[in-house]
Amino acid sequence: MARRIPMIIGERMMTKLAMVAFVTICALGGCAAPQVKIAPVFFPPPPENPHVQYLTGISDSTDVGENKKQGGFSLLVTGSQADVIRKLGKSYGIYARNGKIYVAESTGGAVVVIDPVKGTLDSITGAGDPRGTLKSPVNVTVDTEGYLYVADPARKDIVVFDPAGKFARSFGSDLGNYAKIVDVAISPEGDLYALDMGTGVVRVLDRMTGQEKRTVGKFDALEKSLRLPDGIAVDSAGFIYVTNIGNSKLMKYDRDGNFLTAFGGMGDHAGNMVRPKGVAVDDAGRIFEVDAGLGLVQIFNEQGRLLMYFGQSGLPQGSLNMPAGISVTKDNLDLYQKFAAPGFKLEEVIFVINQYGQEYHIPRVSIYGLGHMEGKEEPAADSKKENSEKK
Amino acid sequence: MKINLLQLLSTSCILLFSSSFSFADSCVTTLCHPAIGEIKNLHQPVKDGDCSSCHQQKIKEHPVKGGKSFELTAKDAALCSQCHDPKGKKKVVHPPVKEGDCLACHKPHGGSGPYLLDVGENQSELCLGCHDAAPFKQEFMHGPVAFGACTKCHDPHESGEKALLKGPVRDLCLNCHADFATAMKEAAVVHPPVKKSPCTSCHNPHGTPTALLLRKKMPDLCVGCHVALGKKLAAVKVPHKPLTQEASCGGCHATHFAKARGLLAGDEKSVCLGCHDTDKLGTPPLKNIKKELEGKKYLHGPIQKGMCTPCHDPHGSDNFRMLKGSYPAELYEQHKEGKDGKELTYELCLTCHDKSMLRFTETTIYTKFRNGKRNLHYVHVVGKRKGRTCRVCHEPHASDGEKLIGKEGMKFGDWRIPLNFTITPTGGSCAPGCHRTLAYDRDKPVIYKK
Repeated sequence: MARRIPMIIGERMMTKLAMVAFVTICALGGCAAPQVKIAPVFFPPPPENPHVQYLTGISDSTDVGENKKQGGFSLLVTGSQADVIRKLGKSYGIYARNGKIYVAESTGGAVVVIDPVKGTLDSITGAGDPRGTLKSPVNVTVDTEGYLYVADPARKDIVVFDPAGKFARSFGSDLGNYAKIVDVAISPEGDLYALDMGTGVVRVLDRMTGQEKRTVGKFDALEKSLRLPDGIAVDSAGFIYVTNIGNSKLMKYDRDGNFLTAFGGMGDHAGNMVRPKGVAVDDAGRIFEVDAGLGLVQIFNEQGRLLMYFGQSGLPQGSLNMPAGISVTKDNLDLYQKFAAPGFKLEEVIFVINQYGQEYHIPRVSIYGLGHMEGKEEPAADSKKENSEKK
Repeated sequence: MKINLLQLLSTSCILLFSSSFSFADSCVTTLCHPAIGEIKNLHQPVKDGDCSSCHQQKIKEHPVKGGKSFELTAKDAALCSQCHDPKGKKKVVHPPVKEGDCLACHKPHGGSGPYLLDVGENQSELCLGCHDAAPFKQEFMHGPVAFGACTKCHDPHESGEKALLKGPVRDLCLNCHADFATAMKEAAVVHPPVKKSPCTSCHNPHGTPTALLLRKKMPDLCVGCHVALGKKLAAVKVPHKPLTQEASCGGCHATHFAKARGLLAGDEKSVCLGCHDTDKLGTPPLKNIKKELEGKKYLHGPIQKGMCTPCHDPHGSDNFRMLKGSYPAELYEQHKEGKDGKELTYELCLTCHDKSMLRFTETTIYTKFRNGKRNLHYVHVVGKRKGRTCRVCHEPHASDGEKLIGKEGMKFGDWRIPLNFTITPTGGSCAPGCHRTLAYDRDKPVIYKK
């Protein structure tokens, strides 16, 4: 029987925990500089071998590095500003590429670019060029040349910024009244896949001209079609993964537009989906599905078999709150390794956006590390086979 | 009174000693106890004429008609242990020894053989006097058993090992089978029971009706441990014939140790080609695979790696030619899929090759055999009129043609249908016996005349 995912946010429990923590801190430190050391949070929890660890989070510029100043980042045209703490507003999408993290700050009408190496957190707002003014960006992607593509459904188009952060072009306003581009991705061939939540298709666009080449996701058979799609990812072989809220499934298509498979389905058991939002695929073909309904991230293999989940509520740290966008990267692993528990070797880093929960000290961007605990290897496949033969 | 007692004692002593010495010379004569004199190997005291070490005269008169003048100096084993170390202290004791009945086996005065036995090296007559003879009279006999050298392996008195063995089973076997022991030490792969367990797990050390002293014939013996395999062998529709023949498992596998994985004598291909190298195997004859592979420019991926088992199950399967998945036996077969999308017709091939090749009428991804986007694999294989099996164009093992496309053509009854396949950077063409010459091009689709 499938294991049920714990979904209890437990407001009462949170209050109790907060009270206990407060009393303890006061007793030990006289209410001065509360520093609570929390044990590393692993997924799955002990005694299972850990595969994911919650590392840290980003809520504002002080979380990024010692340099708290804004500006000084090549993609930006913000100019010199005073020392201020730049808080991340309510955000939705996130995309990590070339060592930088791009956050679609929907309510702030900006794309925030975080450079963890330089320790900067800055905004692209389109300032200086009204054509680049963002209204409510929800998702972003970056192509091989460093151009940034922003899905802004409030503007009803896709805005493109060059690597210097200047407005380059915009397109998509001619896609029809019902079109609502909510996510974007670049295919290995260089096409821009624009996910249209309004009409339930993936629009394959020429990334230079915005010209529509074809659409993916529209079939006579409803079970193959998209309805209220929310997130898109493309793997290195060009396969397209879409989170589809309409049937609570993750849909897989090929670049010809053929429907390949769908998995998930409404429910609260492991592997089910309620409100699938962001999606990412790593180099090993693992599929990461963010579920705002279940409040966690599920990892599937290429066949759609659930491998594990993480970020569920009720943890000392590392819980998600109404998560949305997700991105997986191997960039700057050394930088994040210092947050990992001794012996836990990172292989990739996962960024997940929390839309809410800051009052519970849940960061805007939760950062997890996928890796392995050194010395704790999985049993060899051969010995498993040998054991099964003896039965 | 004192004097009387001393006199009696000294008289008795004189009588006793004087009489004992007189026994030595007089017990074994032509008239008295002559049989003892004829014994080949005498008990040492008998040889020394020291009868009194075992026999004690109780009555002066000897011989006494209907009575006995002598009795033994001690009873049962106590008599023997006056000289010999007492037996019966070890874990396992031969019942006669336990009961002190040394004479169940030994002759007290001597025997025709060594050790006061009336048998020589062949002890079967003695041992089978008590033990049931049936297990020792089998068609196939262990050498020492056939010869009756029971004590080569068994200690007749006592032992720390079960069955009165002279040592642990493996050590005992390897003491004689020394060449085997040396070869096993040097072997790359050793059958785990051979490495750890007693040899008697598989072999009967005395004799069997089956060759090689096996407790059961193969494969029954092997499936005793390889249970899952046993169930499979019992159920398969297409068994590998050697398994049902005399050599059975041993036809392919070394049973003790081998050079290669799976207790094979070499890589899979070499083992398989050990038999599949002739035109006369089976009725009708199977393909001569060795000939089929020889000198070919292109080999199927698994064969390049020296493997046959990725496609064939050497123990048998439910599929044509013991294939590991479904593949039609006939030349033409309508392609079928299960309701859940499971492949039914070409499960074998599509385990490795992308199933999507046969899923879509149009593709730019899953095959290069397409005219523009039109999927020509789909046209040939899934097409409703006549589904052509892979073998119509592709050789399953080896070919001189790229993509394993047969240069000689596909066998169609008495005729080999030529394919005349040519390949270009963006497509190719066929001029087969199936249809007129047709070309295809992925970039600039060919428009076919209707």
